[in-house]
Amino acid sequence: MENSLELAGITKAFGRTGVLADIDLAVQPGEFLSLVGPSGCGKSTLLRIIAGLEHQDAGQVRIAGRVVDRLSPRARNIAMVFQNYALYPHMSASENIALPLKVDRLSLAERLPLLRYLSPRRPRIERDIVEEVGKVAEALQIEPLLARKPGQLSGGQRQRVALARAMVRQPSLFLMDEPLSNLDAQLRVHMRDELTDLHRRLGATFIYVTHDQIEAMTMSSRIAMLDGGQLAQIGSPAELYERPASLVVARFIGSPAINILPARLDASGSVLVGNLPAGLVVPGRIAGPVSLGLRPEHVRLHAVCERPMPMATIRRSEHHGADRLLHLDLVEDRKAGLIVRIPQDDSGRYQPGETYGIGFAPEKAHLFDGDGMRMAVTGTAPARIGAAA
Amino acid sequence: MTALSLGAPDGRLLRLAWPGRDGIAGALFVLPATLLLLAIILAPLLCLLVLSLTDYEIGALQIRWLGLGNFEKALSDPVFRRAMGNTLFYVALVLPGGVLLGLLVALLVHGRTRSRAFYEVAYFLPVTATLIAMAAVWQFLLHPKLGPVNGLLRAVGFPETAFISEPSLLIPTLAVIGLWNLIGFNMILFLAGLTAIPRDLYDAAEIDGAGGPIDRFLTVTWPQLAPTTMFVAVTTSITAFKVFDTVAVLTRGRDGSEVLLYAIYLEGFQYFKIGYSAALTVIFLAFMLAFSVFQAFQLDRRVHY
Repeated sequence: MENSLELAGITKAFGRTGVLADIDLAVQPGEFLSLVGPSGCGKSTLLRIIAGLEHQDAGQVRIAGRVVDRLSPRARNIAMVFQNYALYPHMSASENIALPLKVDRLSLAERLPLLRYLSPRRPRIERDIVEEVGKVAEALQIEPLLARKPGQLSGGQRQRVALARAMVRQPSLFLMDEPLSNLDAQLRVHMRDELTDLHRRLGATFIYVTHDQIEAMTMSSRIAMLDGGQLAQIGSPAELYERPASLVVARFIGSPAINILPARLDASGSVLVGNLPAGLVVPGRIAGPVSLGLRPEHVRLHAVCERPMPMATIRRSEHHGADRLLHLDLVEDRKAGLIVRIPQDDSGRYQPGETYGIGFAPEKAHLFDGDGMRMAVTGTAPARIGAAA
Repeated sequence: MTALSLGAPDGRLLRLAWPGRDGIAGALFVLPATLLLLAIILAPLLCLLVLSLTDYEIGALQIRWLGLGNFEKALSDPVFRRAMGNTLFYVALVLPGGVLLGLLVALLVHGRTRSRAFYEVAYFLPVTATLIAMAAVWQFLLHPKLGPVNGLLRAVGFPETAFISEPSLLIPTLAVIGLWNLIGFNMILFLAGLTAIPRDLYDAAEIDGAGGPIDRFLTVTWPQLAPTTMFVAVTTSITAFKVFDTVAVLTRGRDGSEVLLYAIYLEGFQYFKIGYSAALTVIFLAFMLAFSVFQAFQLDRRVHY
C-alpha cells in the first residue's frame, strides 16, 4: 500500500531565516505521527506546508502517492484542526460542520444569498448534508450543541465541533496543530484519550503537531522530533525515550527531564565522571568532554559506598503519588543538580539533607559526544562506579 | 475633591447622616458627575426645548408662549419640508456609498504590503482637509467652462454639465463631495476591523474549500466585519445628517438645495428667529436619535456573536 504522506527534501525559509532544511519523511496509512520540538523548530510550518497553506521553497509533498505541490488545500483531501479551533463565529455548530460539504457539492451561485433559491437541486443536497452532519455529530456526541454558536460553547465543546468539521469530508489525512493546548489540564488528558480512540475508529492517518512531549508519547505510533528546522530523530515513543539520537532529543523527551552529567573520555576510551571511572568504554574516539545522560528512574542511591562514587545531597523531596522525586545537589559540583525517581517508601529514608552515593547500571546510561550526538557504548569496564553488585 | 474629603476615614459627617449612611455617601460620590451632566448636556437641551415652544427672537422685547405652534409651522413650511427631503436624499446617497466605498478601498489597501502606508495617507488626506477650503477647489473642478471635470466630459463627447447650478444635480454633487471627504475615515475604521480578523479563520476557510475571493469574503471577512460596519454606518449617517459646510459655501441653499442644518442656521442666525430654529433643532435631534437607536438595537442583535 502507498504511503499516506511522503515528504522529500522539504526546505523553507522566510526571507533570510531558514525554517526547514531538507526534511524527508514517510508516513504509512493509519499512522498517528506526532511532530514535536521546541517552539520555533519549524513543526507548524511543516504542517502548513503539508496542508498547502504555505509553499515550500524546495522539495516535494506526496499525499497518497500523488504529488500535491500545485494543489490547493481543498484539492489535497486533507482536514486540519487548528489550535484556536478557527470556528466561524457567526455560524452555528451545524453550519460550521456543514460548510466543507456545501462548498464541495454546491456551486458558488447556489451558496449566494437570494440567488441560491433559484437552484432546484439545492434542497435535496442540503437535506443530505444535514443528515451527514447529524451522523458526525452523533459520533462525537455533540448533537445537543448543533444549534449553538461557538461563543456559547466551552473549550472542549468547540474542540469537538472543530473535529466534526474536519471529519465530515472523510479525508484520508488529518492535520492537527496543537489542538489541545487551549484546554485546561484535566480536559486535555480526557481529550487525549478521545483523540486516540477517534484515530482507532476512523483508521485515518493523523499528523499531530505538539510541543508537549507527554501528548506525543501517549498518543502517537511514531514521533518525529524537529530541532532547528531539521529532523532530529524519528521513531516510536519507546525508541526516542530509550535510545535518543542526540542530547536535544534526550532532554526534550521524558518528564522529569533526563539528568545530564558532565563527563570526560580519556585516551584509553574509558568514561570518567569527575575523576571516577563510570564503567563505560568507548574505544576509537578522541579523548575529550562528553555528556552522560541518566533517566531519573535509572539512578541508584547508595547509603553505603563500597568504592569511590560521586556524592549528592537531597535538597527537596516531592510526593507524586506512587513515586517520589528527589532533587539532589552534587557534593563536588554544587551547580549540577540531579533528579531521581524512586518508588514511594515508608522507611523514613531519603530525607532532605542526607547524602548518598550516585550509581547506575551502565547499560542504562546514555553517552553523547561533544556535538551532542549519541555515542555507541561498546562495553563496560570491570571498575564500575556504583553499579549494583 | 469635596466628595473625597467628605468620605475621609474618620467619616464624622457620614456617621451623623442617619438614614442610610451608604446611601448618602453614594449620592455624594455621584454628585459631581451628575452636576456636570446636568450643566453640560441636560440643561442646554432643556433650554432648547423651552425655546422651541416660544417665539423668542434676539433683541425682542417680549416673549410669547406658542406651545406647539413652531412645530406646526415647520411641518407646513415648504422650505423646511424641502430641507428635510433633501437631507434624507443626501443621507440615502452618502450612507450606502460611504460604507461600501470605504469597505472597498479598505479591502484594496489591506491587500497591499509595501505601498499600503502611501494609500492610507492618500485616502485619509481629504478627511484632514477643511471642507470649506476644499469646496473652493471643487467649485473650480466642477465649473461648467473652466473645470477639468467638464473638460473631460466634453472630450469624451458628453454635453457640458452645470453640477453646481442645475437644481436636480445639486444634492448628488454635494453627496459626491461629502463621500470624497468621508471615505478615508471609513477606510481607516474598516482597516482596523480587517486587521483584527484572526488569520486562522482564513486558513480554515481555505482548508474547507472556501478559499476563493468571493467565498473568503462571504464566509470570513464580511461576517467578521459586521460590528465595524455597524459602527461605520452609525457615524456615517450622523455625519451625513449634519451636512452643512458644502451647502453654505457652494450653493447657499439656492435652487432648492436647503438641508436641515442650513435651514436651522438661516432661521437662527440670519433671521434671528431663535424660537423657530430651536424647534427645527428639536426635530433634527429627534431624527438623529431615532435613526441611531434603530441602528443600534436592530443591527446590534445581528452583528455580535
